[in-house]
Amino acid sequence: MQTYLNEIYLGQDRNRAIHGFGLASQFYFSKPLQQLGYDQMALLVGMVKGASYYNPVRNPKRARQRRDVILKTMLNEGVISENQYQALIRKDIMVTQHRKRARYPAFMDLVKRQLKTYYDEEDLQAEGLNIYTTLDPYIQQQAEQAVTSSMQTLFKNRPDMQIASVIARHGSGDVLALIGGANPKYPGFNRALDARRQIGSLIKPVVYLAALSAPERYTLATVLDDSPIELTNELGVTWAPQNYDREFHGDILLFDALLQSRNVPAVKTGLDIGLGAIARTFRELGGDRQLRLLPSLTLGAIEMTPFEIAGLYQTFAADGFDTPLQSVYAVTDKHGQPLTRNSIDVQRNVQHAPLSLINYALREVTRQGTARRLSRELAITVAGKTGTSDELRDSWFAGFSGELVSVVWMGYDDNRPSGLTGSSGALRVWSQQMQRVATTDYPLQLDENIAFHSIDRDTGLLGGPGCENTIELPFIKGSQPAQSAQCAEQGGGWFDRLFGN
Amino acid sequence: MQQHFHTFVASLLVLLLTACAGLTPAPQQTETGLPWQAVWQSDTGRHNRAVQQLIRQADDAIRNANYDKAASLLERVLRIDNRVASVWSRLGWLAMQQQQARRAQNLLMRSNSLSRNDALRKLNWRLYRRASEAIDDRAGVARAEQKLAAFD
Repeated sequence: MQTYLNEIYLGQDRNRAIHGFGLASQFYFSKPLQQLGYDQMALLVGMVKGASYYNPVRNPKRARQRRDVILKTMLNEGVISENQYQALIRKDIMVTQHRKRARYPAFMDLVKRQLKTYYDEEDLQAEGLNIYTTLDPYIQQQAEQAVTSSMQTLFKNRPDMQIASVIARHGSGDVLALIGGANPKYPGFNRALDARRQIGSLIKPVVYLAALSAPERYTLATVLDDSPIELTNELGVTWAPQNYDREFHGDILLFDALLQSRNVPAVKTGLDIGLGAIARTFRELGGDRQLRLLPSLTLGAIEMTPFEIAGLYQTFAADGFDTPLQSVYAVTDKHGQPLTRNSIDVQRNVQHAPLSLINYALREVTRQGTARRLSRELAITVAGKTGTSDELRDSWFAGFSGELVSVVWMGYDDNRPSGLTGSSGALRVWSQQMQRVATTDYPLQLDENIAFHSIDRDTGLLGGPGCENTIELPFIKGSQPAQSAQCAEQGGGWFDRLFGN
Repeated sequence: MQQHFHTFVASLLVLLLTACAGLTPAPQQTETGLPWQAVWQSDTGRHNRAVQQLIRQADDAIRNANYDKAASLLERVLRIDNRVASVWSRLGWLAMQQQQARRAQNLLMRSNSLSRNDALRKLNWRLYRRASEAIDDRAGVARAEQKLAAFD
């Protein structure tokens, strides 16, 4: 009898069958069985005779008549009094109105796709599985509000502009929020998962990580050449990469080139270290897209989705540990028996020391680089990178706090120029989101094999008291410059020279 | 008969509850008070009460050899605070109990990347050496021994 009560069919929620009184109680009244009133219990009992025929949503009159029959029986059996009976049969049938659309369509889309890797479509629809997702409703709602208010204020003159966003917890890989378009409630094209767009400068941390993994050749203080370059392929086509400001700064430290997102130094460094090395580093960070080994790879001429970018930057945020992003952490059958539990798994394929140098630079990007507005707008320390594709078609920001990794993309579906850089577009929405949901500083975890040295910013050599433009930079031990700058050997600065001993 | 109806509802609820209770496997009695639990516990003092409570429950589950439950509790900790080094270490140890030596190596290294506590780092390298031995990863064993020698 008890099994029967738990198994009996009591209706349909679109593709999902409602089995048992417990589930039916939640579905029709949004509360557990023990909190039901007599009229509600009678309604469910009445449905046993024909869940479809007496369905309270589609056939409320019939359901009410049937309910009253059950209430009459309860009166006759002494379960309820005459007064209770009279009061109960006057009650209208009130059942939960289920929305036609899922509240978080983009996130639910991800859940369905990831579940399909474990289960047959048929089982998912029929077996009454309980799916425990990683969604954080608070973070999802805050992220949606940030998007909606940004689109209505900052970008109100761009009515067709689209946006996508992914927020995950790094370390565990839990996806906490997902937004698939400018109207987050609309279950249309899921740009977070399906919009493959050029990633622009988001590739630069990968390029420079490949370089810094060879510390005998590259450090944050390596002087790069920011001067014009022309490359001609075997078909005779010439490519002359430009910086965003169409200017060339001459010698520039690798650190400054990354902070200012200079294009030409990234191209030259990438070609020097080798496109194969960049592709290998990309894979080690968890990237699984096949890369075309062309020079334009160094400027992010590859197409990726916001979700893929979140996976890549998750590895930076988690000190080099790659963790698959997941939206489901457990599945149980209709009896609560666990079927699967997605255990947290991590894998580190990149060396920590060079990665921690990149993370140091990414933190400084948000303090003195292209994302410096974050240091004014956020109360916490974060790290990240802006990205802009050719002709301003795509605006990106990818970054992380102490617990969250988050990506925002903005652009048009038809790929026309958006007029936005990473800084003027996606970064502003990212900032709005993080102001609402991020609570902990990104705690830069430098490798134990790292030491700081004072560097003359003009020459990239060791600085000293005589140098007026120095910066403290981290180095893998032994890779710091062997030589001191001329200014360092001159002793103190002008003040010391005038008044020093 | 009102009482009869309540009995009906109550029995329905009892049925539901017993179905849920059936999830938990009976704990197996094995060794208690693992020597390295003291090291783990020395690393948990600075975290919030919810984290500390979950960790205590996980340690009880470990003592009762209920490893699935322990892993589940520890993963809940990481959903609150993903930088608790001793929790990653516990998960590494649990992965070893579940014959997942490669996964254990990674989890232990994640613990070491977050920890500045020498006792915990040393424990992680000892466990790493054991995990490496289990899968005949000689490079892993050598790496662990080199790191352990640096502590002496």
